Amino acid sequence: MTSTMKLKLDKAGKLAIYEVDDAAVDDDPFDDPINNVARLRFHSDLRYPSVIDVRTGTANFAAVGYQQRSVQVATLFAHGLGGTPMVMGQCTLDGYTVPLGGSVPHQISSTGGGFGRWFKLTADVTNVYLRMFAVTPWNTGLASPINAMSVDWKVYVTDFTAEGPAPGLGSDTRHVRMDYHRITARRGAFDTDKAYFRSGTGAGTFPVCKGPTMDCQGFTNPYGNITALPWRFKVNGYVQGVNSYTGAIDAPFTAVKLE
Amino acid sequence: MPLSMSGRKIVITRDDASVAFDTDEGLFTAFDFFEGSLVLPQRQAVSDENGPQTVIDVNIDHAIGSCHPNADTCIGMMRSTWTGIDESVFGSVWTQTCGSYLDMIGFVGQDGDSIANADRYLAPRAFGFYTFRAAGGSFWMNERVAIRAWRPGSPATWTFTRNQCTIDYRIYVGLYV
Repeated sequence: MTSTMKLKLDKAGKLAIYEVDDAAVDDDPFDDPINNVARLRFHSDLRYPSVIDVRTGTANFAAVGYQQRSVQVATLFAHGLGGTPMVMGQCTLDGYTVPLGGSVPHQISSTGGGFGRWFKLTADVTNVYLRMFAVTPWNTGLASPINAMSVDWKVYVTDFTAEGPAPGLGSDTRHVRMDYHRITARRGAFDTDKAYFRSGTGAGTFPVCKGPTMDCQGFTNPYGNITALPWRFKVNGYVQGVNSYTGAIDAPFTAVKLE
Repeated sequence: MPLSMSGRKIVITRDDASVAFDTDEGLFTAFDFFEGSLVLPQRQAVSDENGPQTVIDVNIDHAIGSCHPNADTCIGMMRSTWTGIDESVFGSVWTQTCGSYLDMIGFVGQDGDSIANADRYLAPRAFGFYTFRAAGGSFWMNERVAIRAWRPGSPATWTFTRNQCTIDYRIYVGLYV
């Protein structure tokens, strides 16, 4: 099949971009996008979470001594939105670009029971935070204490919030607008001034996971034994966990551009 | 804002030459939206130094709904709120759902039980995390919890509890098309 991209806009404001066979041009993806995803590239009836701000910086965390559970909260920035936004992010740990999705372990004592620290990217109605939780062992025979650390981060703030009605159409009076500097569709809900989750390769991408980043094999012994809980975290080559783990966790992800 | 249309490819670039849209890339497209709460029951292990030692090993997929059969990505937000005493790792905070969320990690003696100081933070006894998934037309959340109540020394009986907790979520489910 020799194919061409077709852009169609109807009088009701429905806009779609899809692949068609040059020899048999049809509008199936326009009329029924859900059942024609293989040829679909964009459809104004569907929803596209978007990025409206990108920030970078460095967060600093203090050392944690032995026999402690410690939570430290670094306020990264005020987002200035009217709700709690979904935030995506990445950081640099041990030379790896690690997505701040789920909870991210670091400096885990692989032979000492899983002591170490965990990072978590969160938000509330005012700020975006990087939280660090650390739990440390009883003495130096098990693992090192948690070092002071600076974490380089990059955060993407989306237009998707925890409060309010479910995401829907925008509030523009026109279905589609096209001018020299900007294109909008779905009454402004899709807007080329924003960035969208685009899969790609090479520089500027980072992994957005689409499955578990951790696996745990349960307790192998009800008593003692500091290595009795095998678990592992693995994303894009970055590995943390306990050496007694024997599974094969390796988080599936899509390399994504968000700018 | 150049709009380039040339046969097999449509590209929109912004004034700064960055790409806003390119048909050669996949665009995350949400076919379904889910909003609600899951209530997870208490999980508790009980141990007797001279008797039975219970070990909790929960690995449950909590079904939430049906989604597009090709959907494999869950992009959204969740938070975990424990009933009663909250000993969760990060507390009740909104976070995003691309990956596994650690909600519980416990070690011997961390909660102030009266054991010898040298035994405090000696070994793990609890680990729990959640992961949202979509595949084969189904959307669910996996609960993975491992608990043992072992403690060295007396008293002989000890319990370790993950209280009932509520998982609130607002999540787009879709795929890159």
